[in-house]
Amino acid sequence: MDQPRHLSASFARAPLIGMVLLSLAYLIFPVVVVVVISFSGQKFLSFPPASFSTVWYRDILTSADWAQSFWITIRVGVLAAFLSVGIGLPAAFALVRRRIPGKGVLEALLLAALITPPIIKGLSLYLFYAPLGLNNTVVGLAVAHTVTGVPFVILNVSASLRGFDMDLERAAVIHGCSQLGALRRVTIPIIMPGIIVGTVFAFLQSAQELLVALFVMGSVQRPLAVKLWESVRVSIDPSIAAASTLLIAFAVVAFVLASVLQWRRRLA
Amino acid sequence: MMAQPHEAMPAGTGPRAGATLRLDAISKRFGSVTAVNRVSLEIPAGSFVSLLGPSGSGKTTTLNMIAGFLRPDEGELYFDGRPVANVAPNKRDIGMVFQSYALFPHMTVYDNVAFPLRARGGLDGAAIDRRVREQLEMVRLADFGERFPKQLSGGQRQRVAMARAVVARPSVLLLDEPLGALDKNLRDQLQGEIKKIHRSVGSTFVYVTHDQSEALNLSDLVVVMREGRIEQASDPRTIYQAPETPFVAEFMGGANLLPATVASCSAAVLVLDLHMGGRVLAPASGSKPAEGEEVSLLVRPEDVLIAEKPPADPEVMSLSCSVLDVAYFGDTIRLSLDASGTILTARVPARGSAGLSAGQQVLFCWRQGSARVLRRRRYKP
Repeated sequence: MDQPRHLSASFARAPLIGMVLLSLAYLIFPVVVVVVISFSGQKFLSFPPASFSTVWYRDILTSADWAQSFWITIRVGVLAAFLSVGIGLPAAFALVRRRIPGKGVLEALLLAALITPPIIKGLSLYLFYAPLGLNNTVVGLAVAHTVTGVPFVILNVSASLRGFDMDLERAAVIHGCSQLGALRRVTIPIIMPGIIVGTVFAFLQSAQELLVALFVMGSVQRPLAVKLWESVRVSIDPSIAAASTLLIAFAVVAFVLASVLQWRRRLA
Repeated sequence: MMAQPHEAMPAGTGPRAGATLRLDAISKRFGSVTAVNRVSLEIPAGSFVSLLGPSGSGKTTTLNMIAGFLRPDEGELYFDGRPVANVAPNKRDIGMVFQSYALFPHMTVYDNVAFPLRARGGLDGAAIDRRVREQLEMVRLADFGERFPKQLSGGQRQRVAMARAVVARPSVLLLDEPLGALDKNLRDQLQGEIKKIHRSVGSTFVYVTHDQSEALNLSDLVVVMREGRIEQASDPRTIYQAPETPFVAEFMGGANLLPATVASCSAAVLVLDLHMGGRVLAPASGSKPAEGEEVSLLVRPEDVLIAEKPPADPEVMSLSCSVLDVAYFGDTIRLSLDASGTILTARVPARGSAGLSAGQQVLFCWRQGSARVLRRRRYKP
């Protein structure tokens, strides 16, 4: 029993660290496979590839078809993100700062928007849009994705708002700002990281969403997720892997940006 | 030199007299709780007023109504005779130091101090720059302009909050327990700086605190509050030496309050029957109680004499008691005494009291004229 304590502690930790690494590997492995295959030199999906090249990237980046899909995804995603902030930001203020009867019900409804099965959302939106002529439009899909984007913004912004010291806003007002001026100069800048993270989430959930997109925008103009889905069904060359890798890179860049912003805020 | 008024200031930013504040029977209720109950108070221009009281006494609610963060349910507030109850906080010409300082974390010290000047408008960039630099110098933070609040110590943050509050030379400055978060040495030091700033900017200062020594040291007028009402509003000396109610006497620290019944009241002296036993004389000062009225006799610990034999002087009152505890403070000692169940406190010079020890029987004496008779306050419903 005269063994040093840190030694026995590290023995006890070893299995734990092993489990963590195993779980991480399990989560990351599919991503790694896709990324590796995207650099394959062969004409079909195989892992590990026998040779490497960037030919598939050249393929999709020069293909008008893929370019159109990218462009649609970006337009839908950006519009959905903006709509989500436009609705979610004031809603978060109301939910955190006002006494609203039935606040609990409202919050539960918001979460319900996140957990409604996408297939049901897709079908009902399709039927709802048909008479309105919103199917196969960028606006239609963006509005559909806003339904799931709003809760992301509300959850992130209200977390920031709950931690916000109301005296800061009072200090701005007493020293000469109007209510709106105080929001613009003090409150919004301070909760900005929460707003940005919420916006990035709203964009990413739109960019990766397949089922609703399949219903609403399945035929002529296809966003990236739909295009990927269809490509898998008709061909199995590694260009799909290259497109997926680009989508993943997109998400990684967005998250790094959001983290940098939060890190800078902690420094300030 | 800091206290000198600045010359050649841009219009509207020079030192000027503060506003006269008048609270006219203001009330504020939160649900069934009346936080502030018909409070009336006149605060002279440029004076330093403390609102003093325990938590829940209504002092912070009163401050928030002066600031405009809360609207009184009843009554009116006047700044220089102008009613302001319906004027927005940003139009009242106020500066404020918050208990948590509420410095803007996303701005540098410089931008924090410049904030009121920029938000109020009316000054060009060069004038703002000059005012901010002067103000930072005044609080000895000239080299800290580029730092962020998180990079400062507690005392430095307090000084930034002070600088931001006075930079625009508001006619009223509100301070909400501005030293509450600091340790004792720093508090003592910053009290001096707050006094100096008050003299140099000339605003009317309204200072909320629960620390009686802070209030006594800083203020021209101390307003003791209790349960939403003003218990007494007087200058510091009067508040301490001539409290009007048992609550004020106790709150101002370490008082002996002996419950008694008035046995007779002639012109100059009252005769009291102490509830603990014994009949004593007391000076009749202020409003005179009636015969048979229940009162409290206040004897300050520092007015107590400890004797072993009954005093010959008829002006000296005495109670026999036993020493419970002797606490040594260097220059003085504090005695806890038990007089037939009532605990009394005495503060006597350490020199010449060496023989006192716990368990000893002594006499608790005071000169009749040094005590005060306090009547219970009755509020009109």
